[in-house]
Amino acid sequence: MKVFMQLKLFNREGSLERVLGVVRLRGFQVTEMAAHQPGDSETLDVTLKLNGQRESENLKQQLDKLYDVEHVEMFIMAPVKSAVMSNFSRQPLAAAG
Amino acid sequence: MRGADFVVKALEREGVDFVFGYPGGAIMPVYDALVEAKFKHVLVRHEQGAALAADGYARASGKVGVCLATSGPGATNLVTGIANAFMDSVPIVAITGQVPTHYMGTDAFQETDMLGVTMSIVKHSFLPRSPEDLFWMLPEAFRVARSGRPGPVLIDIPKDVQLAMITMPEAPTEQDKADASPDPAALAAAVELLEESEQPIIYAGGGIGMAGALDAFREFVEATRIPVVTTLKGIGSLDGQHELNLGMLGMHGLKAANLAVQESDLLIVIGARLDDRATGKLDTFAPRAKLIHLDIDPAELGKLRRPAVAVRGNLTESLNALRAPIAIRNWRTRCLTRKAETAWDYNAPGEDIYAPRLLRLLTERSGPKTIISCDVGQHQMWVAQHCNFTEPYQHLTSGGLGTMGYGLPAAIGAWLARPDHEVIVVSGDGSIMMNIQELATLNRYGIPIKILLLDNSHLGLVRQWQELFFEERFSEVDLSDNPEFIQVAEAFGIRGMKIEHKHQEEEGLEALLQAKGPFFLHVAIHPETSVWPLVPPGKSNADMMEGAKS
Ligand SMILES: Cc1ncc(C[n+]2csc(CCOP(=O)(O)OP(=O)(O)O)c2C)c(N)n1
Repeated sequence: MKVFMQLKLFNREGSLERVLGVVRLRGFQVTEMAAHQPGDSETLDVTLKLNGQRESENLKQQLDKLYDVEHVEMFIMAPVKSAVMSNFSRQPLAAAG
Repeated sequence: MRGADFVVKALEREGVDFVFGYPGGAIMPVYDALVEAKFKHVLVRHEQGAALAADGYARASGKVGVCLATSGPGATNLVTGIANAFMDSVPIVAITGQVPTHYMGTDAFQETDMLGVTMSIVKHSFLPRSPEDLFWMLPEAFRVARSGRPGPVLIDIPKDVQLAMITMPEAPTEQDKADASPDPAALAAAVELLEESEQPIIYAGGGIGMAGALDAFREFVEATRIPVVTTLKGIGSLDGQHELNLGMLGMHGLKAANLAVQESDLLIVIGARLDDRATGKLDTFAPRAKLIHLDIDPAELGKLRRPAVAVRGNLTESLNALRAPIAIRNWRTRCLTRKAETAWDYNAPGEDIYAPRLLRLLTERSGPKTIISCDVGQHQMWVAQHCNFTEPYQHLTSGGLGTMGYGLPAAIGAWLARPDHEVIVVSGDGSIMMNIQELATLNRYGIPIKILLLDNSHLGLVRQWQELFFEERFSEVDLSDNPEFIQVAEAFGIRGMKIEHKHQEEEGLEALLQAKGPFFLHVAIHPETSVWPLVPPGKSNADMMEGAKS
């Protein structure tokens, strides 16, 4: 199953590493990733495309528990009619098809 | 003042009364500041002992346990104890020294990336880069450790941060956040399921005691009169002698408990995480049952089995809202009849000491203020099966990690937390050797802990598995070359006694319980005594094996 996660992290020592560690431990593989620090420099916006066989809701809950994760949203990837734009980077996240 | 002095002040502000630790280069400024501390530092003889003592202290006191170590090997020696606290959701704060910030990342002497090493076994970890970071990170570490689902927190403090000069800040005023109230709609749905159910079972976990919800839980049991099974960590949440307590479920669970769960149509899972040792093969576990799952950690709700109703939040409030009598007389009678029919029989053939009987006698002879701290193996399962507990804090056991070597250091922490209690370590001849150096800590501080060593001259549980599941191909489980344990104890200044015949059981226990200071009771048991019942790994809890008593 392909899953898409959008996270807002407090950009503190080790925060990105913790997210990636949880993704690995809970059975998912990163197939695409982007991280971007908005102007205020306190936070880091991370978008992840993941592949995995496990229940993705469980992964989301585990990520949500991390101290540095302010916010996490999950989308299950299915074909879409029009391109999906990221809230963070204004880049297309999923092409139509 | 220095950063290090602030560390000590911050611990005082948290109301810490004991810190378990071991000094070294990168933590020397904190050790220097400790000279003036209002709390007591307990010098263990291995850092693993410090982390496990902090764990035992936390479980026995309900407060946050603290351990302290230097960088590199000191810090890595804490790792097993941190993982132990993580798996069993025990609030500890581990403070480690780190090389100075300008040396970090240069492979400096005794530099280990502790943030990296512990990342997946802590609730959170902090690395203060400036002394000002300490001001918020230290109180925050305590708050994180004890709030919600508790767990270990690491603070790795570079030496230059410890040495930097600062002005003492005001005490922080931030309060702990209360656990959120449960969702009324979920509670209403849960009540409906309870009312519809004909064969409900309460599945009680360690979260009940840790949430301080014991009273609400016991009232819930009395109001509904639903039979109860407990997990290993849930032992003591209901008196072991309580009529409705069917005992522990799982791999070495009681027949009455496992079969009741398998037949149930509704499981009310409270503060438990459906661990595989408790459920057996998950897709054959309680096949007809719907689940009401109550927990503080949303990530546990639906992690392994989707509940019909998930209730997240304050456990006392949730349980109070679910209290209602329900009509299940026939089911209850069926569960209680089976409990009576499958009660333990302590008559074992031969002249050997029969460990289950000895442990049963131990709890019968000991007073209400007793704590038993176990190691890991057959003896741990016998304690869970045969000793009686009336409160969860009385049963200290390494559940999730199964850490051999837990018993003695955890007992040290527990006795310091509750010095009015009799604290007894029940250990095996394999496990005791994993932290035997802590006998020196008993002697150093005059800690009157009793040790009951069940010596089968084997790694008994592994031997049993090799016998049952590896065609009796015994591999590296023989410990017949063990040291003479009484001499070892005496070398540490601890008196002891050895017993090996059935008729010495009473005499040995008498000596153990009457001793004024620490005491070491060495009990030789038959090497082939097994733990029964046993659900083979990967099998359903309905498939319990039984065997001969010795
Ligand atoms: C640190 C550690 N190493 C290995 C194990 C695996 N293990 C589990 S039980 C056991 C045997 C324990 O032997 P002993 O302490 O003598 O207890 P017994 O089973 O004989 O009662 C072993 C090796 C473990 N749980 N912990």
